[in-house]
Amino acid sequence: MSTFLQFHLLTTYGPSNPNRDDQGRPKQAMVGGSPRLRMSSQSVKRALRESAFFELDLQGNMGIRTKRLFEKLVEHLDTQGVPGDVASEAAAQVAEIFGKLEAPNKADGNRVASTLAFVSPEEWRLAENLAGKIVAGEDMPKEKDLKKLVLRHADGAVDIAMFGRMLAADADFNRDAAVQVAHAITTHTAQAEEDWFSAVDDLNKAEDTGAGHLGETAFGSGVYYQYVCVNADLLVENLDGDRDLAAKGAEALARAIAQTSPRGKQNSFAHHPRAHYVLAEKGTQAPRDLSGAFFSPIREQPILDSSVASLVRTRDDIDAAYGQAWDADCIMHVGVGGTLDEIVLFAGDAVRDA
Amino acid sequence: MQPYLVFSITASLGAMGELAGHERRGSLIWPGRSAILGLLGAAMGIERGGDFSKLDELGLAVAVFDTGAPLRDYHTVETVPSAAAKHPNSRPEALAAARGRTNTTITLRDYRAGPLYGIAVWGEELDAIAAALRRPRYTLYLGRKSCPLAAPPGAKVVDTVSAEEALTHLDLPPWRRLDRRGAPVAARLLVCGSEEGEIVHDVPGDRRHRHFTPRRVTVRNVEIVPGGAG
Repeated sequence: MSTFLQFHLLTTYGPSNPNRDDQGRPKQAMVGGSPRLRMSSQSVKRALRESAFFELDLQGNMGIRTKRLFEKLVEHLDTQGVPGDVASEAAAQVAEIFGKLEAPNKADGNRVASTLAFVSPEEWRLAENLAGKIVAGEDMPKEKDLKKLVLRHADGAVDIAMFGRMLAADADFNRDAAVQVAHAITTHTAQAEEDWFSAVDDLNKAEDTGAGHLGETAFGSGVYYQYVCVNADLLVENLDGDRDLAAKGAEALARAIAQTSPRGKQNSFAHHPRAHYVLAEKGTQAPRDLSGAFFSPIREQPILDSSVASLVRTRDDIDAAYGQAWDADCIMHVGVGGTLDEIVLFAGDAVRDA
Repeated sequence: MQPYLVFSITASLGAMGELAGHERRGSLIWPGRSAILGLLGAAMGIERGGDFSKLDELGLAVAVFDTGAPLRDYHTVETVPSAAAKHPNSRPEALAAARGRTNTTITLRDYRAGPLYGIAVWGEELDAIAAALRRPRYTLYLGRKSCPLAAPPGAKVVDTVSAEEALTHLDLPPWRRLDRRGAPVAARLLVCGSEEGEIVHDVPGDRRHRHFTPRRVTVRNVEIVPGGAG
């Protein structure tokens, strides 16, 4: 058996065309006898692997990009009751690990780094620990070794470990994807619509007025259900046993799936949706998506709330019929409760403890 | 009487390939022998190059409740010439190394939207397989990785006189128990291996090279209504 980390997301897309078919229209599907809009798994995966969250993760750093590590460390030490000058000295020593610090501000003694550094959540924790140890007067290693205490390197290829690789020429380098991404479909009946448009020639003021260009473009709108499943054990195995890196990857994935979308026609429609509802689950039971909740399309308004209710009900129904399909869960529901940070933490821990 | 392992598979999208090339991959209307054995192998944690000999001995029958609606997906694939990036560590790295000299190919993939099947399996070590289906080693999916199962398989072992009878003991997912008219859903076709009947190429031969050998199957008209022992 393996530990599976499952994500279920509901995200509203306004008029947009993030993933096009061979005619340039939004991709569609008939599910349960009713037409839906669809985004293919490959378009979603591309958006994920090209997201900033993944880029940072592959560099071995993820989370917060800042010059203000020093300031935050001083604040942290202050809450521990450490006197100001001692705190400043320890904070400076730790912050220097991430990059050179500017001279102290004359007014308040604050220091910022001369360049932005990417700091992962784990590195934050380690940096705070280390600052605490320095304050406590523990013996510290030399500067070079100091870095190893805080900085995490990520040489493994997280995206390949997650989404797999097939090399026909050299099968030894093949990887079975540890992350399964389903096609996203709307929870309700939805079809592509046509937008007819014209563009005017600014310099044509003569009698032959009218549009300089006629065109049409298709778009669609709806609440999409997206399912993603991580085989935590396989992810660790694909990363050569580097459990921390695998956990970091899962954290990046959790951030990315909630805030990333395929970029088709993004400049035309400016779609930058964020997930409205995220359910994360972990367990060793056979994974299942919750698309059954939408096999009969949602009809009752408001569609978004009805979609959440149907998803929750179907999950309970499946548990009642087959036995509980998860051991622990974590929910972010915008306007109701939960945060993405909690989901991220849950995802990382699910892989770390797998 | 003999023991049968029965379970159901359904997904919002599924793909049951037969002959496949790179550019176009079709879908059958029911999962072939290799698809079912692959699913069981994934549950048991058998790797692609692993030992499938025990699974290859199993008998299988597939009850078709819903073949799903056909769906053809079109997609483009951006490829990096292998000369441009030797063993890249990541896709961004490969794309960067290619410096814009990438190729695009178009591929077509067929799916079935909303299929529902019942599977009966007979042979050795059914309890171990059932346990693996409940807590699998690898992710289970219907044909392609992007096709997650929409319900747990709900595997159980029952003692009955035939595969057809065994399949009446299936627990179907809650939203698939009734058809559109509100009647209990029924399987109309049962696909079994046999001495005579039509030929399908779905018996895994060389798994590494994805070669399939032929077998004969009979496709029988039946009416299997699950809901026996719940």
